[in-house]
Amino acid sequence: MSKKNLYFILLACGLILLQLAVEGNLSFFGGRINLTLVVLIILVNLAEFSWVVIFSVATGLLLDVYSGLPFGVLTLSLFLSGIMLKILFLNFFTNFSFYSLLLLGLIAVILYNAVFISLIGLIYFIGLSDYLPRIDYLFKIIWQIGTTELILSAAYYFINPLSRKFKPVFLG
Amino acid sequence: MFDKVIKSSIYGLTAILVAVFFHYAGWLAPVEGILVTIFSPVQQAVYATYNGGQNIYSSWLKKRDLIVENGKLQEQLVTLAIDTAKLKALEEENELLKKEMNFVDENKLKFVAAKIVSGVSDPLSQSVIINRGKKDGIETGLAVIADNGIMVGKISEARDDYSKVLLLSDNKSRVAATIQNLDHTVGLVEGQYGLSFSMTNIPQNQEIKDGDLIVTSGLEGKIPKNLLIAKVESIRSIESEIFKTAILTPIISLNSLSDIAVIIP
Repeated sequence: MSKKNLYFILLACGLILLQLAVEGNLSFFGGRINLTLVVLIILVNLAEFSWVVIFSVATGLLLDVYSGLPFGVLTLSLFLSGIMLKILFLNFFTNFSFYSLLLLGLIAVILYNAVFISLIGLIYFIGLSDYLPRIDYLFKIIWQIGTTELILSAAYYFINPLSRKFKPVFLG
Repeated sequence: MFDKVIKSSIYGLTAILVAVFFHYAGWLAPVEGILVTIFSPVQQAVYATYNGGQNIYSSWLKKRDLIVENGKLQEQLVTLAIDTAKLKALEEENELLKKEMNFVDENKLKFVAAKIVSGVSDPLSQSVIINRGKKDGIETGLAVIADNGIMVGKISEARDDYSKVLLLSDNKSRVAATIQNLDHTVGLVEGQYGLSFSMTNIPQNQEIKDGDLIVTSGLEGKIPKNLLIAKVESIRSIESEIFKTAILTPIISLNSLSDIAVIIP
């Protein structure tokens, strides 16, 4: 196993533990921070698409083991968001600037939650689950946007010196 | 590039569908069990630290009010709270276990003591994961108690090494209940979207007042009678309706549980 793969697996495991610590405590921060999505956004920017798929499937399945929702909902939400984000990124986000990262973050949170709510809604109407987000979930989404942008900003200034990808290309 | 995207997406989707199928077929259970077992020590530590932190934070808030009345004592309390935080957490844990032991001994109930490993990973359900499973005699539907025999939830999913507990505040949670000292079922205690819980389906002619204690009715085979659930906070009654609803106040906070016991019938 290459070092890169090992780091990747360690990152995924560490991330799950962190996400569960934040999400799983039924505390104020439950649903307001989505660390997995933040890493997914960074991977969409920096890594090849196959890594985005591997990451979203692996972390999603792990999170689903701990989830009270029907198995697969979190994985599918992450996976579909990953695909859509990568397509958006390839078509509309050609430079790797700070602002494009923030905009992608905003779109990611909205996309992820749109997919998540649609899947939950679909499962609810089929009759497989009793969960349906209430109106207050919208506030959680607003919180998620804030926390995601904040973490992405911090990550940008941390990754920027280490990677050549996060540099805007100016012409002429 | 898009060929790659499509190809990887198909692989990813296939992997998800296979995993979901394996999960519901039960073939993924050993792998899930191993994962939970591997992660649980770290998660338990993180969960306990987080809860400890929350306790310190909430006690700090209380102390802040006391500063106005008693500044000097407050300073001492803050210092003491920091010094004894770890000790206090251990003491509380010990106390909880003792209370649970006393309760189950007095009521001659069989129980399995368990620790909460983590909450769940989704933002909608109100559940926790405990470190006891089928191997310890746990099965779906059993009552989960904390503190001095106060019911906090039901086992919603039992696996070999771990189980999921659906807390009473989850909107999927339903428990047949009655008013203390009554011998028949009065209504159903239902969760209210993780915020609180209420007792529904109470006949209009049933007398119920603020402050009444709500206990399990024993109608559900796996849940013993007289487990304390909550206290009545207020009654919502419309004369034209057949049933009335009681808004309940939890006796203990469901957000900072750490040690619980599962009652084995």
